[in-house]
Amino acid sequence: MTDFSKRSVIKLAALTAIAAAALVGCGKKEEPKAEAPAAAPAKAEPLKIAFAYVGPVGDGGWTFAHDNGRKAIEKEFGDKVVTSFVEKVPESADAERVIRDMASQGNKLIFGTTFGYMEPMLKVAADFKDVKFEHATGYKGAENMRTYDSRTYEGAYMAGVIAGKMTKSNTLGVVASIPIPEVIRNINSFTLGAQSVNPKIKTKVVWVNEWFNPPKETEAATSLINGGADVLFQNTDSSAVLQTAEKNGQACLRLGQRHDRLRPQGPPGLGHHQLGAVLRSGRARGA
Amino acid sequence: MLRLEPRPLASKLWTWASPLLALALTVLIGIVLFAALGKDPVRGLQMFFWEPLKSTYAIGELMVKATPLLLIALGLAVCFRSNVWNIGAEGQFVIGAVCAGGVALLADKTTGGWILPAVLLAGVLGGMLWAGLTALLRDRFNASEILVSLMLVYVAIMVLSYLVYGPWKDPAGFNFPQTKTFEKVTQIPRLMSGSRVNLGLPIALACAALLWVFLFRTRAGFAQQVGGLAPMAARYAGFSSRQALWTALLVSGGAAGLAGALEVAGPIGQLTPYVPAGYGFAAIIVAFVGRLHPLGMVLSAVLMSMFYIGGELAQSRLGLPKSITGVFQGLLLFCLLACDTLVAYRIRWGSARKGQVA
Amino acid sequence: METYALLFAATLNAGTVLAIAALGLLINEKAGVVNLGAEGMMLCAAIAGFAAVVHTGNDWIGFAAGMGAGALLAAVFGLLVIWLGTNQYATGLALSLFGVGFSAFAGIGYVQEKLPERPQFAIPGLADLPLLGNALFKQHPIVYLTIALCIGLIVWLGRTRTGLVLRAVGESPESAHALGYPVRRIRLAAVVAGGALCGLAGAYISVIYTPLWVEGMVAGKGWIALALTTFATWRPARVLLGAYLFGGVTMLQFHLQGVGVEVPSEALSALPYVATIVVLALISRNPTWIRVNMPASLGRAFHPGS
Repeated sequence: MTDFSKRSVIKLAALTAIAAAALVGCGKKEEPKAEAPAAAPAKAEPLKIAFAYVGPVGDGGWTFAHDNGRKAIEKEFGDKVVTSFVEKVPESADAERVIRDMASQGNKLIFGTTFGYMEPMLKVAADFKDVKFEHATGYKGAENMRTYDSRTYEGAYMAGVIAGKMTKSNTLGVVASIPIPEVIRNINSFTLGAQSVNPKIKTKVVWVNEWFNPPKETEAATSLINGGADVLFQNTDSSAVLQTAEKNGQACLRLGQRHDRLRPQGPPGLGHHQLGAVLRSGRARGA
Repeated sequence: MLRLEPRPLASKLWTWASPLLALALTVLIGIVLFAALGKDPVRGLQMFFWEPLKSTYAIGELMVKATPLLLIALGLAVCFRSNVWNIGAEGQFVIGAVCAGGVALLADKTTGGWILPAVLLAGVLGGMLWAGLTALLRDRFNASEILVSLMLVYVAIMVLSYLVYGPWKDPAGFNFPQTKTFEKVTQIPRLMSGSRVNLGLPIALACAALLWVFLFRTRAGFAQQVGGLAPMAARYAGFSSRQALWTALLVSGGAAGLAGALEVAGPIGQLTPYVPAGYGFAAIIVAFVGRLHPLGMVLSAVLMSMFYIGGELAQSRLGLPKSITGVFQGLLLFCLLACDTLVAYRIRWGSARKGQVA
Repeated sequence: METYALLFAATLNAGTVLAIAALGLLINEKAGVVNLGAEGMMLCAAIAGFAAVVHTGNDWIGFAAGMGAGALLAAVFGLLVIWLGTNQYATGLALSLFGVGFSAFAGIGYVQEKLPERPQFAIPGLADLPLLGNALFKQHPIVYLTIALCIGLIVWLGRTRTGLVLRAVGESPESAHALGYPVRRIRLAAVVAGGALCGLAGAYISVIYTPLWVEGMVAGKGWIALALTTFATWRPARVLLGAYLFGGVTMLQFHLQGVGVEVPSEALSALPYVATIVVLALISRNPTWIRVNMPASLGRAFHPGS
């Protein structure tokens, strides 16, 4: 079965980018050595990679997945790379300064992990032509800047299918973050997936207008459950909705990390597919 | 036993030395904090106090950060000196940015340079409008300006959110919440290439000078402050407290709005949901640490910017957590307030005098 | 109808946080001290409580830890304001800003932590009542304690000698001082008690309401609690009602979204804050009313011998 894991897509993108960058980097490093042909070829300097995160590393969601990707790169390439990161970089004028600082500190590959870094990265990319920039979920690029993303809507469709089959009240609830295209895509996908197995379902959406705000997410989830939804889907970054669902004996699916601690029993759902759904059913616990 | 003895006159020495002592105390606690986190304290201090000054680019970034802080603080100083507690400068900043952005969006490729002052003026007026709401509610309904201005901050953020997700969203932006980037002609001109420092800096410094003149050389400024220092005396002298209220709030609203306009037409270049950056609250600290004096505030704005930028650098170069900036800023204010006692009191050894109940 | 019963229950839950904090601030303000640092105290208490439960697994130790954190910060505030005579508003603000930063800092290691499973509560018998059972009788004990606290405060402030002394200190510290009461110590006690209650509210948020830690999770509730004491004209019963009203508006916002009301979600999100402003304006409109109800020395420093 194809692995839809967001983490492995990121890993793949990272590996590709590093491979490309390393080739370019290696090429550059040949030049100074040509001046000292008698000396033994020196070991190539490790590639410096920097990550700019929008959230805290411990958010259990988007940034957490990226940081796991970073650690995977370190493990895979050992001392050929040196990675660093800055977390909680706001998507504002500050981002340009942080990214520019990363570029001027010798990082040759810089990952900007959120849409809001697009304009700052473009500006810095124009000034640092020898640095490669990878931007997540954007739409503008440059010669040394490219965009990457993951097909979250495919996992969302699968989650919808499961939800459509599981629901008894035919009401599905979605705790949504911010109405940007990929979130809307996920919600639509979810609904289409559910409708494909159960044409009678209705999806209720509540917008929290933030990526990560557990108290608000709890309130939103509670209000959906009170309104009759018996399966929840979340696009926000914390485990608040999962916990609320668990507390009320409802099922909840989410995009993102598995939470083994929260579901010690219960079916493994789509298994180790991080991007897939984490199935959590209060009923499966026998409660 | 240590005890406090009131001084007959406020100590001039300590008026200037107290912020320095507070800074020294904060640095000391900082060193302890760095060591406790397992980081080299010297490098830590370097990140905060040396790196932000190392190159022209670095100083430029410092100024870019300090400009909005200074502008807002100047306005807040007028407020606090008049005993009007405007906590909602952040909301006025946002609405100023919104209004400025609205005017900037009207521009197209053929617009002339006149649009730039219009953008800035719109920012000022927007901030004044938002602060005016607070003033109105205090004037007419006696509602606490602290609470009203603060609630309006949240409302302002929602207004911005509505606009960038809705009517003002960039049609070519793939439905992402942001307006289109402003035309070149509406952007604040930079002072030199290679740095992001723009016209905002001289504007802010000019405002500081203007404030100095207003506070210390004009009758109106004097009247404004007396209302805050001695309300009874003000009434006796016929200074209108109502006028003082409106002046204070409109000036600080305008200043915050101008800062907002400079941010969106300058470094940001468009309206996004991330315009509210907390400057309105940090400026409160800037105002106090600067002793509500224009010159002091210029220095404290630079100091606060060093904390911000130093915090970022400490994060990326040393792996220190981002929240350390917030801790230092809060600590600085606390230490300052504590050190300020030395202005009004002397420390003495000995037991309490007879007759003084606790 | 069932939906509305559940909405009511959610309102009680949401309002409890505000009510506890606001009642604490009420005690402060009755003694004449304004502590603007509520937000900072609640945040520090939230991380203290959360951490305590993570390490000990016991909710009540978590609550105690939260109360301790709140009381400690309030004590620092109290010493500065009451003994060193620093400006109450500025010091409160400093406490808020410091609390926000410090809680984020202290909470770094706890962002991924989860608490052991949260217990469900239901009053046996009463919880099975149709509608009312869901609406009223399935709450955490703290919710009921809050109501008891409110009643206790009404009795204490209005009918006991110590309550009267507190009010006297708040109305006229000079007179109380002349009568021989240790005004500064009483004010400090009030400030610390208020801080402890704000701390309880903060711990409730991170241990029960949303059992997670994330920085800034109090999200302005401290400021709203401050507003509550003003527009309840410093009466405990009105504070409680105001808190539930506010909690209701917050939950209503999500309910309306879920039902599909065609109002922009931002307008609904702004609703609680606009409501606060409107009520504040209406309540404060009558200066005599305010003068009659507000503790006369609110915000002013007291120096014995001056």
